[in-house]
Amino acid sequence: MNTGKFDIFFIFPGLASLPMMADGPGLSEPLITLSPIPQVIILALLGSLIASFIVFASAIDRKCTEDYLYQIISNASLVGVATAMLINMFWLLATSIWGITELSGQNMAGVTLFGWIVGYYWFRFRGITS
Amino acid sequence: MKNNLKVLRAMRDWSQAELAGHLDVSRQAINAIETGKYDPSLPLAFKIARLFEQNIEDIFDDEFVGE
Repeated sequence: MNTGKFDIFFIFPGLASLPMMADGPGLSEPLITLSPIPQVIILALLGSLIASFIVFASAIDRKCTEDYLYQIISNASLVGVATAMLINMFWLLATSIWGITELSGQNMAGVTLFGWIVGYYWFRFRGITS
Repeated sequence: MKNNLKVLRAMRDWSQAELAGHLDVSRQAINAIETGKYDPSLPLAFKIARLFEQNIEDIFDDEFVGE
């Protein structure tokens, strides 16, 4: 995978993040309720398992060997995380002040993804000089 | 960082894609280096210098001004 392919590839998650951010409240009464500790354990185990599988199956370290691409993707991921944190902070303030609807996990995932992709194209346009 | 990569490439009548092929990087990376939007890694800078048979300092200028 090279930079040129990533320029096109990132359009799709960018588009997918839009309905994620627009997603409204889910079920008011879930069918199955998990208490916090089991939920954390299940998510941590699932996350570790799936992440390990992706590392193994994608061989991304061998396919994406270009430093330029890596720098852009990693810088953009920091932008995505920072964007999500700031939006979450300001939205919480807005929720407490104006009583607007809280953001769901789906919304936050969409914000993080969108921030990452905006960061990617911004670094592609601006460059990543030291 | 300033560089004369574009000039060196033109002297050999190579396209950006051809130069990228010689260096095993993407065309976008070559474009970013030539336009000053990306400073190449040290291994890549050495690769470029070896390809054009020049010293790194003759190709890249970090505009350092001594104290």
